[in-house]
Amino acid sequence: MGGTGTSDTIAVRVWRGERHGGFQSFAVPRLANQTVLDVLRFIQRRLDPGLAFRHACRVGVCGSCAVRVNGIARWACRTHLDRVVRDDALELAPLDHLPAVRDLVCDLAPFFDQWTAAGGYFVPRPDADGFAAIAPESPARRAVEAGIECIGCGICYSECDTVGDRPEYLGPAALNRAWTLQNDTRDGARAARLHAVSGDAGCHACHSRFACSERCPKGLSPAASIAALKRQGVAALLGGTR
Amino acid sequence: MASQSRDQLWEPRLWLLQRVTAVALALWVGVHLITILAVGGAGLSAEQILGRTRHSAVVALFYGSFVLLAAIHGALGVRVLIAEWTPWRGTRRDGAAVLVAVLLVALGGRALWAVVT
Ligand code: FES
Repeated sequence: MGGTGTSDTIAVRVWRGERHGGFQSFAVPRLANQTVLDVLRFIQRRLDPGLAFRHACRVGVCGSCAVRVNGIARWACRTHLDRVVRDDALELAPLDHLPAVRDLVCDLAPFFDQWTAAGGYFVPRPDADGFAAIAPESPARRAVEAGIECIGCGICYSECDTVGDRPEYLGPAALNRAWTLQNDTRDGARAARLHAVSGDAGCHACHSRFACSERCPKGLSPAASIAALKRQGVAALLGGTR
Repeated sequence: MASQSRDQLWEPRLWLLQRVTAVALALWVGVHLITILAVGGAGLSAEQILGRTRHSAVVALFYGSFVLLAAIHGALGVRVLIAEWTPWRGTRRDGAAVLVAVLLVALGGRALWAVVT
């Protein structure tokens, strides 16, 4: 599917420079089972050692390799060219909505700052005593399961129009993490976290456009987590527990 | 977990209000459309229609609440757009949204006044 499969090279346009830069073209040999990360490594090793991009695990675990491939944010290491090459051409650009550092590298500090602002970290209950026994089949644990596999790649943040419109918006990944913690029965900061995600640029700023859920490489649904946070907020409001 | 208490108290309330008015508007718009179709099908003239709406408590109540619902729902939607499209925040943004609500009530109220009096 996708590529013509007839040509033995592909024309790869790669973003060079910082915020003000331009695309540079490279001719890269087409190989079987080639990924976007393979293309980037080929360019760096053979054509231009100065090309900057991030990667570490190469197997979809660390979340460091996300770039925009033909305009859509994807994980480079697990994106096969067969799925994305059109007419033997490929365009690679840094993630959207994040400050550019160089070439395909952006500064993820704003992304992770939002995790902190959303209370996206575990706070042990004051009465925590030894190991907690969590039944794997319990509804709360299952709710955690739905969102826990986030690798922090920033793809949802790049794809979210609301993040683009309002940089102060907490964003899908941070809110998704907050929701997993709201279901963590060991956590002792759930009221404070619900408060933290209910601000002006919190979960209520989400338009439920589901771009995050559509693009998450791990198949998570941050949009569903955000909707659940909104419901929890209303429940707290009506229950008078705020 | 920073706190901006005013926002945290208001955002969930405004969001709920937006949702509740949306559900109500779906019903109101339904009734409104059915009424239009029924009136059109009956072939009533403008004079005959006005004859029925004048001094009608049902029309006044139904369309009065319609105007209020639309004003609240519309203003809340505009309030969200202001945050996305302009640098206005806080009082300036809320003030602009209230202004939209007042404008919608005025426009809708004038139209309603014309058919019930
Ligand atoms: S290199 Fe680790 S997720 Fe792609």
